Parts: sequence; C-alpha cells; structure tokens
Amino acid sequence: MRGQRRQAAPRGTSGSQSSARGPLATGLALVLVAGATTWLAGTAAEPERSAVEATSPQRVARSLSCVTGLSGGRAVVGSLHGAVRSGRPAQGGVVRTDGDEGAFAVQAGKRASASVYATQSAQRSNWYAAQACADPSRVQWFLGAGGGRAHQSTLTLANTRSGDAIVDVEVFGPKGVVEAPGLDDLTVRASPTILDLSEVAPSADELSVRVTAQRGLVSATMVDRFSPGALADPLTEFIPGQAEPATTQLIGGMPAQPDQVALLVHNTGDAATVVGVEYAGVDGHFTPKGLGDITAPPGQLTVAFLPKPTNDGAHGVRITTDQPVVAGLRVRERGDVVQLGALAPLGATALVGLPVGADRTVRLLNPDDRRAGRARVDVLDATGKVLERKMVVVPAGSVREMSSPVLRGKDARVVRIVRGRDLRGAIELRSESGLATIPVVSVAGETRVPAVQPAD
Amino acid sequence: MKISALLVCHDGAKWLPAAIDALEASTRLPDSIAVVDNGSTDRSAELVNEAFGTDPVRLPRTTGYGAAVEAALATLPPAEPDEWLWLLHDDCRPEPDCLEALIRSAERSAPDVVALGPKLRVWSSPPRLAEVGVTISGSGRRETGLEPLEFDHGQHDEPRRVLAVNTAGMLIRRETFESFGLDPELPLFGNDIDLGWRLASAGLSVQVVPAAVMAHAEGAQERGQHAGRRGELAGKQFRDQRSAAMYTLLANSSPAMAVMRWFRLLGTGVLRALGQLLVRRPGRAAEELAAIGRVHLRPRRILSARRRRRDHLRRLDTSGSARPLLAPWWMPLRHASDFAADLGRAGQEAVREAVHVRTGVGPESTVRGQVLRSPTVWVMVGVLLLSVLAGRELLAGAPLHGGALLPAPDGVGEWWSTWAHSWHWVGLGSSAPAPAYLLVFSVLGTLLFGQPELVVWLLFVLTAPLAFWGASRVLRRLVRGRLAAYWGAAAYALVPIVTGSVAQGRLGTVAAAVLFPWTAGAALRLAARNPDHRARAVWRTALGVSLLVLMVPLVWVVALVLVLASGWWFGPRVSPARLWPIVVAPPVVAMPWLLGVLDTPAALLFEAGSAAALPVDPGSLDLLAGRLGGPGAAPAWFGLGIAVAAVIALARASSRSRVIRAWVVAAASGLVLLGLSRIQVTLPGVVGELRPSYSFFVLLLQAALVVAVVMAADGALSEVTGGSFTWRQPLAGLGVIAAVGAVVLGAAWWVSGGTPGPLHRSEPAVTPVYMADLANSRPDGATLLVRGGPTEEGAAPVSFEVLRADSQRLGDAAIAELTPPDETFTAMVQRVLASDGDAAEQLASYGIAYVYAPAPVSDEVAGAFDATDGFSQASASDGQSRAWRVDNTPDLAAITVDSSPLRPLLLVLQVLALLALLVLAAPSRPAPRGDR
Repeated sequence: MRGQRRQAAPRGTSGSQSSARGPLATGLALVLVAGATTWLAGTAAEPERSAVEATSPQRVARSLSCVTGLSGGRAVVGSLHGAVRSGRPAQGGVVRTDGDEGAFAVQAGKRASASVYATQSAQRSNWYAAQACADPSRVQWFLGAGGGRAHQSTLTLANTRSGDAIVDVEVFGPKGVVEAPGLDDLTVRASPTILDLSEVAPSADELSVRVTAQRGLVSATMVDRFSPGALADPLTEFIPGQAEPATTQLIGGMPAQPDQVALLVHNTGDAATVVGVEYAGVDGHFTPKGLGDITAPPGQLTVAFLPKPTNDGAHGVRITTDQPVVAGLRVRERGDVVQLGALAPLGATALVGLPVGADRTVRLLNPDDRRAGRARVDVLDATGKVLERKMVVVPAGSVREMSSPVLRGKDARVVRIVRGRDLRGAIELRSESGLATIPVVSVAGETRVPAVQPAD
Repeated sequence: MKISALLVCHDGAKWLPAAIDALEASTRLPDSIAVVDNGSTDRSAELVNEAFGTDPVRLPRTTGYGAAVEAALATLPPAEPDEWLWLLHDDCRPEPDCLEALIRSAERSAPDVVALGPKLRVWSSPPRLAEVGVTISGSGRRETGLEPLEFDHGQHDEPRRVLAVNTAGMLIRRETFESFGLDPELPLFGNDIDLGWRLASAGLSVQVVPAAVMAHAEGAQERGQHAGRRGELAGKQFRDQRSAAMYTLLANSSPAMAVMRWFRLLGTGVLRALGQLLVRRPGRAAEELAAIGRVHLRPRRILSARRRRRDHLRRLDTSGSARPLLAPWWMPLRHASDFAADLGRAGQEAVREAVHVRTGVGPESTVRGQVLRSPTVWVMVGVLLLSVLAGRELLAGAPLHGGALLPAPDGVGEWWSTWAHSWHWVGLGSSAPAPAYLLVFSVLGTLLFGQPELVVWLLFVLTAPLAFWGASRVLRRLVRGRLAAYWGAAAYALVPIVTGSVAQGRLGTVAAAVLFPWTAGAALRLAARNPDHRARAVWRTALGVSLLVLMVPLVWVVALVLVLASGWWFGPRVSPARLWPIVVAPPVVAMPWLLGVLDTPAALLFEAGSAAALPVDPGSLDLLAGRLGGPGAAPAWFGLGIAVAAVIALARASSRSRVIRAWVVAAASGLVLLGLSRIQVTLPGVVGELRPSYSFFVLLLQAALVVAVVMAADGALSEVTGGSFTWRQPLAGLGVIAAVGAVVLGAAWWVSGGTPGPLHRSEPAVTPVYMADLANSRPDGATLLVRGGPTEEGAAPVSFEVLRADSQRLGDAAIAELTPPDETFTAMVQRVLASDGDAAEQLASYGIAYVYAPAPVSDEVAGAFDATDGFSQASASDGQSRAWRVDNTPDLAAITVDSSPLRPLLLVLQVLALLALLVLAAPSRPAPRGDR
C-alpha cells in the first residue's frame, strides 16, 4: 500500500514532468509582484477614524441669579436680542433689589442667552458695590470671606431649576479646613438658601469658600461686610466667584493708586508654592518694590499685603505659582473696598451691563508679553443701538483704558467687547459713595459642551 | 384433501423453468393447476404451454395479483368440501416435499388454521432465509423476525401461528379464500399481510410450516423497476410498498388505533422523507411523500376498506384479534438501535481505513493500534499540548473576548433568536440583518451542549491544532514526504497566532484559518479522475467556500477567480461551467444577510467580528512578514524566514512549476492587499472611515508561501545530498535555516508569551449588576453608557452606547455597525450635556432606565447629568464611576419596531441550501437494492 501511495502522492496537480521545470524568470517576476504589492499595501495612510471635535458650541438657555436685600440695590437687566424674564418687575430695564434678603432669577431663552446681561449694584454713603448676577456653576471659589463680627460674609445659593440641588460648602482658613457642620450635602430648593458664615463657620480669620454642586447647579453669590475700624461704618462688597484653580492668573480691575492691596491665595495643590507677583500697568509688568517672598501652604488661604504700585500705577496683578491656586485681591481706596478675582479671556464676544449712576472706565489687560492684542469696544443703549464704537490696541503685557462721555452717559447700558480673544477686561465704576469693579466676561450663552457621538 | 394450484406469471421466464421443474418433482402433486399470465412480454406463456400443455389465462399487464388469482380461480371447477388452494408465483421453487409437508401440517392443525405457508429461502442463495411468516410493525415495516440474509440452521423450524405468510406457496382453504379474497386495493404488495390480518380478526389462524421449504426470488422488485419505466402497474415499488403498508394498518386497526396511526404515519413519513433527503436519496423521499399522499389524501379509500371489513365480519358473525400477532411496539426502536450500531461499525471501519491510508499502518491493526502508531496523531497531540500551554490564561474563567471579538452569549438561544429575528434590540433597536454565520455558530453551540462559549473557545484556544489538522491533511496530499508536510502544517498553524489574529480576536480570520485547508483540500480534488469524486469535490468546495464566505465575504472573489482560472489551473478535465455551485452556493447560503446589506455594500468588505475595534495600520515590513499590525503579533523579523525560504524554493528546478503556482497565489494575494489598502469606506454605525478587512489575504499569502516551501522541500534532501557540491547546497541550507527558524522562533514566542493582546477573559458587563440584570430582562430597562468628555488627560468627544443587555455579544457588533445613528437621540444626549430641557423624559421614551459613566468620569459629563432635571443619582460599581436613574418610567414609545416578513423565507432558504450542500458533499454510498 505504501508503494501505491507513493506513486499516487502528488495529487491535485497536473502537468507533465517536462513542464515541471518552469522558467525561473516567471517565478522571480511573481516574487517581485508579490513583494512590491505587499510592500505598497503597507504604505497606505491610516484612515480618519474620528472627525468629531472634542467639544462643540451649543447655545443654551441661561438663568442668572441676582441677590436682594442690599442697601440701595438695583439691577440692570436686559438682552440685546430676544426677551428676558425677570423674577422681579423691571422698569426700563432696572429692577429694585433692596428689601428682603433673598434672590431672583433673570431667565433668557436660547435666543437671548448670548446677549443677556444682568448687573447688580448697591450703595450707601460710604461704599459702592457692583457685580454681574451669578451664572449657575458646578464649582465656585470665594476668597476673602469672613466669619466674624467685624468681617462677616453671607453666601446666597439659588437654584433656578425645578429639581433639588445638592451642594457641598467647604470653608478654609489660614490653618486649613474650618469646621462648618451641616454644610455637606446641603439641599438647595427653589427658594434661595442664605448662609451667614458667622453662624455656620464662625471664625475671626480670612476665609476661602468652595461651593460644589453634587447634583444640579446653583448660582452662588457672596456678599461681604467689612468694618474698617471699630467706629467706622461697615463696608459692603461682593466677592467675585471664581471657577477653576490655575498656576497663572491675572487679577484685574484695580484702581491705579490703591491705598492698600491684599493678595489672597488659596493653594489647592498638595504642596506649598511660592507665589510670584507682578503688577500690570500701562507700561507693562513690574515687580512691586520691597515685596518679600510669598509662600502659600497647601489647602490653606494665605493673605499677603502687597506694596503699593509705583510708576503710573497698576491695574492688575499677575501671579504665577507651581501649584494650582485660586487668587484674588482686596483693594482699599478712599475708604471703600473692592474685591477682585482672576479675569477670564474675553473670547469672541464679551458683554456686561452697566449699573446706573456711576462713572465707568473700561480697562483692557493683555497678559501676553510678546504680542499686542486688540479689541473692538461697543457702547450700546438698552435697545441694543451702538452709541460708540472704538478699536483698542493693548500692547504686550500692558493695560489700556477707555473712558468717554458716551460711556459715562446715562444712555449707555451695555459694554460689548468683540474679538478680545485672550485679552482681559474690567469696568471700573466710581460713584460718590465709592468704588466697584465688574469683570467683563465672555458671553456664556453659547458654550462649548462635549461633542457627542455613538460609540463604535 | 383436494389441492388446486394457482400459478400467476408475469415476465417470469427467468425463473419459470426452474419453478416448473420443481413443481413436477414434488412428492405430492396438486390435483389441478390453473395458470394466469399477466401480459408477460417474455416467454412465460410459452413456457407454461410447454410444461402444462395448455395456454395460461391471459390478462392485461396492469392486472393486480389478487385479480389474477381470482381469474385463475374462475377456471377451476366448483369448490369441493375439503379443497385447498396452493398459491404459486412464477419465481418460487418449492422443495419436492414442500406441498406434502404443508398438507400434512394442515391435516394435523386445529380447525381454525385456514392458511399455511412454507419457509421461504432466498432463490439465489438457498441457505439464507427470506421469510418464515411475516407481520407488520406500527410504522408499516414488514417484519420477518430474521436478520438480513440470515443463514438457515433450522433455528426457525418450530411451526407456529403467525399474522401472515407470503402468498408465494400459501396453502389456503378454497372456501376461506373465496370468502376473504385479496384486497384489490393492494394489487402487488402487502396483500398477504392484509389477508392474514383479516383472517385473524375473524378468529381464524395462519400457520407457518418450516418443514415445507420453498425458494423465492422476490422477482416483483425487479419486475417493478422495469414496469415503472414503462409507466405500468408497479412503477414505484417503494411508494407502493409504503402505501400498501399504511393502507393495511389503517384499514385493519381498531377505530381509535387507526386515528392514532393516521397521525403517526403522517409524522414519521415526513421525517423518513427528510431522512432520505439527508442521505441523498431524493427519489426515495419523493416516493415516501407520494405514499403519504396516496393514503392520507384519500381518506374515502380507507373508510371504504374499513367498512368492507366490518361488513364482512358482521356477515361471518365471528371475531378475533390480530393484536398478539403484530410486531411489538418497540420494534422500530430496535431497528433504530441496530441502525446506530451499524453506523458505529461503519464509522470504525472508516477511521481504520483513513488511518491506514494516511499512515500506512496496516488495516489489519485495531483502530487503537493504528491511532497509537500514527505519527500524525502524535504530532497532533504535541501541537494540542503546546496550544494548551500557550493558551494557559485563556483555558477557563470568565467569557473570552477582546479586540474584534465580543463575548459569546450565555446561552445558544440568544444566537438562535438573533439569527431568526429581523428586529434586534441592539442599541436603539435595529432592523439590520444579523450576520449569516450565526446559523453555523448556533448549530455548533447547540451541538456543544448549548454552550456558545465553547465554540469561541475551540476557535481561539485550539486554533493551532485545528489549523494543523486541516493543513497536514491537505499537504500530505500534495507531497510524498511526511517531514515537509508536517513543517508546512506547523508553519500554517502558527500563521493565525503570529500574525496577531488570535490575540486581536479576529473571529473571521481565525475561523477562516481553520476552514481554509479543508476547502483547499476539496478544491484540489476538482480534477480527480473519478467523476463521482470530481462531483463530490465541487460540492465540498462549494460548502467550504460558503462557510468561508460567511466569515470573510471577500472569499467569494477568490472563489470566482478559482472557477474562472480552473481550466488553466487544473487542466482540461475541469470545466468552469461545472463549477457553478462554488460561485452560486455562497450567496445563497448568505442570503438573509446579503439582501440586508445591499444598500451598504461596504459591509461585504469586512470579516466577522467587530470591524471598528482595532486600528488598521500595518507597515510594509509587517505585511511582508505576515503581521497584521496592532497588538499581539510576533516580532516581524521572525516571519521573514518563510518568505526567504519561499524565494529560495524557486531554485529547485524539479518542483519549480508547482512552486510557481504557489507564488501565483501569493502575488494575487499581494494585489488584493494593495487594492484593499487603497480603499477607505464607511459603515453607517461606525464613526469615521475604515479600511476593509485584509487579514484573510495575509493568511492566504502566508499559506501560499508555506506551500511553496513545502513543494520545494519535499524530496529535496536526497537531491541535494546526492549531487556534487555546487551553489545549490549552501542555498538549500539557508532555506532550511530560514524556514525552520521561522517556525521554531514563532512557536517559542507563542508558548513562552502565551496569548498577549486584547484577547482575554473577564466579565464583560461594564455596568453594575442591578443595571445589567434589568437590561437583560427587558428591552425597556436599557442603560445609557457614557464615556469620554474633557478630563485631566485631555478632551475627547463623549461617546454613548445604549446597552439592552449587560454588554454587546458576539454577533451584535455586525448589527450595530450597519445601523445608522439616530440623530435625534444623539442631539438629545448633547442637550443633556448642555443641561438643557426635558431630555430625561425623552430618554425614557427610548426605554432607558439608567445612565452609567464608568471611570474616569469627566466632570463636565457628571456635572451635566447632575444638573439636568429628571436624573437621580444611583449607585455605581466603584467610587470613581457615576450612575444616574432616569426618573421617568421607561417605555419604548419612541422606537418603531420594524420586522421583515421576507426573513422567514430567507432563513428557510439558507437552511435548505446548507443542508443540500451537506448532503451533496457527503461521501457517496451505494444505492439501496430497491433503487438499482
């Protein structure tokens, strides 16, 4: 059988013995074809698997929250396009906000969301305070709050959505966390929750506060009352909320020649950091003379008083750290106090409503040391009509300001800064009673949200 | 006692002389004889005339046996008191004392014994028994109680009462016969049993007398075949036998039993027809169905027969029961067990023969001895052990998945269900066609104890032994020596492993690697000398290509090229026109899926498995070395050895033409690879562009190179060592080192490293158990799985997936990839991320009960769901993941279930096509006696 099998072994092929000696050239040609085609197959470009950007712009409805109960309180509300709905009656776009302590919402649909503005202000004889009404946010920091009698802050949490929000409020001082029982998993319902820090976190120290929404979103507004002396009338000021810690920040809106500048730094990192400080003035950045080293321990609020700016003054402070920090300034000038926070880029369009009854000066700061920045500044009335338009060029690392009769006039209701990109902006408001600064913020009505796609 | 013989002739000239001689030699001659001829066309009438000096009564050819006997009886004088009839056929040859023994027994028997019959032996082989009395089983089978071709050792020589005796040699009282007669509805077959049954029902008896012996040729079968060709009486003898048996059962059973048997015969008849189809006897199947039709579609005939029998018994005023004489109820079971035992013995013989042919071990050895002495078996065992060692981490545990392989479902029912339905609860629901390979997987999973995981396990853990088995079989056909074939089989078996196909879970390529050698082996026999082998090779190749196409649709192109080039490849013996099944069968088998993807032809370019799961970016060196790119592949330079050896193989002149053929395949594979690399396509359910699956063609290219080396290596040793030293010896040495080195290095890498890469065992569920349980239990308990978004590592788009089970399972990916995204739903998720509106309510209308974001969770994503109305926090599996419950009660209001009424027809077509291929590809078997 084996022998038979051997004879029959090469089955499945045909051809005689003579044709078995195929030409070598044919074989080599086939080798060449096989090799070349296979090689070339490996040179093909990789297909584009995802053309989807990580985020996409979305226009969303907005709900801004303004607090009430402040002396002489007013809010300027409106929109350049579309209607807004105010929780309190507005007359000519102005809402009275004095009276009972609380909050109300200014709601804008998708159409109005990109041009809605709501700026609240309050004043007494010795102080003037102003701030944009708060946008809901998941995390907000407030620096320079107080939990004592001489320095007392009130946190107003407003939930503008139908469901309950769950919020954690954490309080930090120069020695770290301040015990604040009952502030974890705080339920914020439709009516605003008002927390007096002197009651919920009594402390004589400077405090920083982080508000984190575990569920839902809340608008947080911190109103600070500060007594400059035992016999002096207390001053009231808004503490601006800040979102994210960073290692480089530009805090702007400072009057040129302040009487006192206190730097507030909360180190959110896990190691101490040296805080580099520079003033930002018309002539560029400069280091304050006589400024010693400032070190911010982790998890604590550090307060340092800065030397007064020299030269032609400064309108901002640039700080650099190697740990993420939240930073702010408390500036005193002529008896009033101003709380300032880090400014955000102006982006494509930034918008701010102008409170009535105060002089206004627009200041643009350029954090870039190498390139000049430019922006178009529009002054509009309540109907959206442009009253004045001006191109402002801000040299590298410098500050420029714009002030005009139109801007100071009573018809001016809105300042819109277009194509400001990375520039920062703030509006100084000066009344007979005092000084306030409002940061100019990029329009949040159209926000970039994560792009969505089905999984493969 | 008067004996009147009645002889019926019908084309019996072949047997008639011997029958007449035997009759004349009887020790007791009949007192008279009447002969009838049913229109014989041979010399029967002439022979009768010569023997008996008178012409037989001539009747038409269509006359039945009963009518013929009646005609003969009519020629006899009136009945006498003790007259008996001896019924004779023209093909029966009584022993000299046959009639005497019958008469003696009749005289001694009880008065109720009215019919007696002799022991019938086989005419052509007298020592063998044909019948010693007969009865009938519940299935209609004629039961003799004898083994097939049983020798007569006197073991059945006890006279006994039986249900019936054959009419050939039957001795029956004339008055009884004239009273009962033969039923004219049973012209040829089964009239003896019917008569016996009626006698028993009347309280009369039939007795077999073994002392009386008669040889019987059973010539009716042969005559029936010829008559059938002329469209006459007994054209379809199997049909007539079956219908006669059914008629007998239904006409004579008690009323209740008759009803039961009516249904039983219908069911078993259909099953028998299917069985006949499975063993490639369509004629028999048709006859079986025709017999059912003749009986079951004509109930009046049965009712009339029953009425006649009832009236007759009433007239006789007697009664009795045939029941004790019928075959016991378990008789069909015994036949089934005998059949199974026969199959086992035949299988054993087949294995013995196969081992003998493959190994040369003598057929006289036992199967165990042959197996133990077979080197192929030992090499197989070695490869199996290496596989187990290399797959040590994949042997058992949680489900096997990873890369392009999704986990198998928990039960095979899920595969059957997915295959059978046109609507699938995958993602947001889909009417995309289920992959056609699910039918094969479902069958395999069912055969493997209902465990679909075992199918995946076999394919991915035992890839190498399975591929080695097929490759060694086909290579041993191609070459004389064992060593080259074993090397080739080992090199081929390693291809799916070192390329990374196994580690990357490339289901299509791995299954194709196992199937391909068998298909190639069948294709090699397309030019076989034996026409039956050639025909069988066509169907086997068609079956193999069909299965390959289910896994890798592009194989159809290869098949088409094979058919078109068959004339050049195989020579004039093979005509492309005869190979049509190879091209036609695959689309038919894949029809349910194929019709569904006509509007997405890009799907034809992808093999089984998840098309989008793996990046496709092999480099040139990777492809040359047989690597797919991506994780889990052996170092590329390992594989270059085979390519080098295949080039060197061209140096051997004596085998060059065969090596060139292998290089033709390699070059063609390279061309296809080049073409595929330049194509980028999209699938509706996959984001971005994709390159078609190319891994099968890498496998084909590597297989061609392996075959080239094997062709050249076979017998090269003697050629190289036999001649004087030239440049050929060093070149051959280099080729051997390259070839052996590639296999040894590949095997060492495989065994030492196990199976690296995405393929692994783990629990597939990504959601918490309570979510998975809910999703598994109902379609409106789905989970929206959300991943991505901005994190500290960077920003990525948010991807979402709707899980209507704990995870997607094998087969689901093909459906999901063909399902276009629901833009409305995507926009809704986008709105949730923008914390906008009533998205939760809308999500609920898609049957979504939970939202789950596995770690790492983007703060923006988590914040969005936290902030949007209608979502409540739920518990996640760990502290890093997040989960939300949709507050609204989920339903499926937003989903429109779309079913295709055509699908059942397509599924039937697919099953029938596969069954037909299996039947036609099965080994030939001799035609049964009746079909000759």
